[in-house]
Amino acid sequence: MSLETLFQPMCFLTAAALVVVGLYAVIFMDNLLKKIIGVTLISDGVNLVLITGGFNKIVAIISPEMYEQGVKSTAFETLTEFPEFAAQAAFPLPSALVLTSIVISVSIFAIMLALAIRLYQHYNSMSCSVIFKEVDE
Amino acid sequence: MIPGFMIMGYIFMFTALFGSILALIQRDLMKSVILIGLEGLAVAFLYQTLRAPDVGITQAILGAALLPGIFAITVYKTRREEE
Repeated sequence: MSLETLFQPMCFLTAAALVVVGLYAVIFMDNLLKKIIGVTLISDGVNLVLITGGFNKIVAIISPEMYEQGVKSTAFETLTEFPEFAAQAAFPLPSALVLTSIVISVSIFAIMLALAIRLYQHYNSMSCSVIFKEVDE
Repeated sequence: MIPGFMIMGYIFMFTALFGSILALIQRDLMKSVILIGLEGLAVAFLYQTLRAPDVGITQAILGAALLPGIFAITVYKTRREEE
């Protein structure tokens, strides 16, 4: 096992650790801003899982027979190294999905922070225990 | 022979993990927001090493610049230190 073959599992481990740290922050931190920071960490971890899953060794575009004998392109006559390129290329579907997910998550965080500001203006505190105590009264 | 981008990828995995952990143990919330920006930038470079450069560019703009900006506005509107 070299560092080269361990690269994709280490990326998966990093994503899992980001999700775990984010869940810890959401559950156990008392400050509202740190809870929102935990949600951003969970979002980054999930996006990283999707991107890492499409990293390499996925030859989905061409069939195995075409992969063995090479692809003769009509537009590019000199393109003989196409199978090596296809073996190294990333799967394009997760990057297209994650691109949308990042943009949506930033707008969701903007809404969450605006609600946190309104809670601070109403209860005059950012601590969750103080807010829950005042809600109960 | 390990390629150079994989060494960069390992460095940015380390940066993302420890940036996120350090962001959660700060008492000063502005330092925490800056460390969240560092974590977003590390994840953006990690996307670049994972051969998804479009996602890397979008994450570098939104996750490393815009998101710490709105977090900083929230810290400015509320209190800075954690009670």
